[in-house]
Amino acid sequence: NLYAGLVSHLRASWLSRKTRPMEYRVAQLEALGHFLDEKKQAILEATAADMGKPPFETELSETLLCKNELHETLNNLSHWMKDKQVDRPLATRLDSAFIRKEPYGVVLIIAPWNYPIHLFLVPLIGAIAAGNCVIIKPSEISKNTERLVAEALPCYLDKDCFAVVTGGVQESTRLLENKFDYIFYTGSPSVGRIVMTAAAKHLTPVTLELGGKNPCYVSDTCDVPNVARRVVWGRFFNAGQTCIAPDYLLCSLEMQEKLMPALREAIVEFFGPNPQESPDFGRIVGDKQFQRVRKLLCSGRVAIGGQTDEAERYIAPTILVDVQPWDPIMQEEIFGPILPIVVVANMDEAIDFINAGPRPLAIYAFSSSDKVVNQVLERTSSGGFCGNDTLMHVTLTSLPFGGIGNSGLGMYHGKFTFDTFSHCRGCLKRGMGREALNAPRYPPYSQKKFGIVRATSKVARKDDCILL
Amino acid sequence: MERMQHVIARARAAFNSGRSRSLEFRIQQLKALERMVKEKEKEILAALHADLHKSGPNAYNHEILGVLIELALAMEKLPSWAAPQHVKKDLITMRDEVFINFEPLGVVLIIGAWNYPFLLIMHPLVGAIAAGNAVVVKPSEVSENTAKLMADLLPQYLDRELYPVVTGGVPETTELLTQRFDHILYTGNSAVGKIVMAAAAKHLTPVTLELGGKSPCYIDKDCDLAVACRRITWGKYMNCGQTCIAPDYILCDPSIQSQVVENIKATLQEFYGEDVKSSADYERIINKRHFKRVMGLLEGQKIAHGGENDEASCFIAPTILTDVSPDSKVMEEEIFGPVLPIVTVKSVEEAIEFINRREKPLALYVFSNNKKLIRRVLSETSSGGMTANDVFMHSLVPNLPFGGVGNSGMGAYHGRYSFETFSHRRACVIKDLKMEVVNKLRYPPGSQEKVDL
Repeated sequence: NLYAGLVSHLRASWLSRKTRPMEYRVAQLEALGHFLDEKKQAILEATAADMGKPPFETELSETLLCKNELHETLNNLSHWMKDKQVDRPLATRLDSAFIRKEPYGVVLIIAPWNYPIHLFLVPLIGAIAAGNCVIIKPSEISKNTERLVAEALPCYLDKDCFAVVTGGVQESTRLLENKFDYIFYTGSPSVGRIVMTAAAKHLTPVTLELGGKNPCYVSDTCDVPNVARRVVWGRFFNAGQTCIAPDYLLCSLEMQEKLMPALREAIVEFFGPNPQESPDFGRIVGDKQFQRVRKLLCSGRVAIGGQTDEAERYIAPTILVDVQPWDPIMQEEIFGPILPIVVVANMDEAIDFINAGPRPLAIYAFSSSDKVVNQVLERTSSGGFCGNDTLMHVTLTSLPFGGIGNSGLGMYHGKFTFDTFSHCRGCLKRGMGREALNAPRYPPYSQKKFGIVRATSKVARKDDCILL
Repeated sequence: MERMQHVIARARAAFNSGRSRSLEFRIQQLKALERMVKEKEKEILAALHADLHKSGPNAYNHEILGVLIELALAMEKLPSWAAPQHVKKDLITMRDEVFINFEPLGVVLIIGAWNYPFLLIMHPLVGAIAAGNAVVVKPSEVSENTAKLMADLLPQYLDRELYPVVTGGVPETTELLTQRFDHILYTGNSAVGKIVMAAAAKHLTPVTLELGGKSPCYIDKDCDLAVACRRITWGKYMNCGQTCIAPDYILCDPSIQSQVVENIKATLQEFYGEDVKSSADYERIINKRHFKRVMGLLEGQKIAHGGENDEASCFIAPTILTDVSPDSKVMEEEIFGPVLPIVTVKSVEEAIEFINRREKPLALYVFSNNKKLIRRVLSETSSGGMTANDVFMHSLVPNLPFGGVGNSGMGAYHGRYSFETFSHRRACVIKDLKMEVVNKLRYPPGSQEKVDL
């Protein structure tokens, strides 16, 4: 077993209880902050080399959002760690009942390549805050960032408790043979199944952050230029390689006509007349992915963009029209800078279309009418929802981020990450005295006795008469 | 098998119709369930007696009372549990609506166990209905009278399409697990728990696994032994030891071992009289297979009390074993029977080490007058839940989550935790289409000034 030594080393550290004191966790979290600050330039360069990530995007997604999570955690850690007292029924009213948050032990975080720092670091913050030891497995596809993390992170964190493992599918498979106390995986639904099946062998709980096709409905009443900008921003951020990007647009033919010039204008406003020359537009991460996405351009008809450059793995910001539900581009998550438009007659048809598919990670609805936005929200199901914008619902540390059905299970961000990596232990401390009060519960049983038991255990309805 | 697929498809169609969504509907179903429990009390108690030789008051206390409490809590709190939760906003979202919506998952599956066959279906069912789901109920076939009763009763009181009962044994359950559900709550043992989770993985179905293990009970020298032993006796021999959170074994100093035995013996006399077999309040082992299994654990052991048995009636007397070796068979698996081994340890350190060398248990018990010692045992071990100076009681506080950790399970339920287990927390942000000027900061072309802002 390739990684047995590493896992047992971390388990020994775990058993030594080194990660438990708050001071230790705070020190490790602050070290993570130093990593983000001191390696900022290296992160910018690595992500640029991996997928042409524009520096502005890296600052926003890989640095700023991570620091927000770090600060939120450091600001609140002592509060989150405290035992939570709970209300008790009459029988236990004089006792102390509370929830104790406990770390699981040795946990595994598997991260993908598209936001290669953010998607291991934010879960890591919660895992450390909760007191666990952690093995981090970055993606081998974003190889420059993988190298950076493998070389630099151990210089900041306690090597006895935190380790980075590199490698591809084979290494990941071997890693998953070991017993972990929690596994946090971000990636595709098909690999999610493999991870959960491996976890089942050890009864290891999991959080799976997966994906799907995130629909974006635009109603006939809306501010077209603003919609266009917000959709273009969300779709083409990181060259479309975002799990919560609006994957496809649903609108009426009339709205499509109105949107087209606005979309074109927004693209030019953001990336200039030739996006290939813009420092603010990314590239596809690898050749395999480039081939896959390029093939999808054959669906429908190119209305805007469509240019590609294989040497640079460049695909222009593209809008496709005349797309049918059975076209190839509508069969898989696009994960590239292409936005197909599927025409629907009205909101009801859009909702039916959305509900016919697996539940996505995000649903977007644009309308000047609150009623329309709320209808889409109420009549669909998804991980998260954003009305009149894209991506923004994941930037708040107070909202849980996770999928449902095929798009995932579990959630994180802010306190939810801490909770994800904590076991909530229900605790009751009683005294040895007042044994007479326990008498009604002991055999020999009798009707009279359980009348008392019932009275002291029950939760009364507000309108129940106490005397009865 | 085809019928099962049809039943599940019907439940899904019923869920998709949207009728389980309104709070009025859910409360109406919960009220109907409450009526069922009250009107059919006699039949339920009769089934429990037929399956486990559970006496009326005992069965009522342990299986019916808990369900009524859970129902009352859910009906009372549902409006507040289900309400959208508004959360803290930041500068950028200051003018927006930001909230968490609690939404049903869809069609969920509840697989019950045979030891508290009514409670372990009904308790999670309340939460699943409260959360707005359709629920497929699969009671344990081992407690066959209760299973049959639930299959008869639930359709009489609840919406037949949304809450079907599926009966059967291993082949039927295996078939059931190939179908797609939106959550599975399973109560049972770790071996089958792994099978359930592996089946769920194929559909990316989240699971709550309420499993078991050996729940340790440490008795400190500094404690009121009479009281401690009475409480332990109550918990250990209730339901003939067939309780997932029963104190499985005792850890104590050798110097108090014989006192512990004497106190337990005295309490057993108090509870069940001279002839335990004729006490109406003492249950039986569920079936011959488990009878043989538990009797097998006595081989080679020093029986300090008990050991009497009768295979025909699946009776095993309350039994205490002393000076048990940590390597013996009775210390390997969860006993789930009226056999209480005592393993001696010389200190609380040794006890903690002993506990930590083994799989994390579902419950942990410690008896001591020394608060510091209790705090230490709590912080240096891990378990699903724990009670100090008593047994079971943490599972009766509706506001505490009930669940395991590691080999004893994952996820939790009871009260609000049931509602949350069967709900999806959907993050929602609703913005204005105006106020675009704020957004301009995030759009390309990017520049250092924008970043610095």
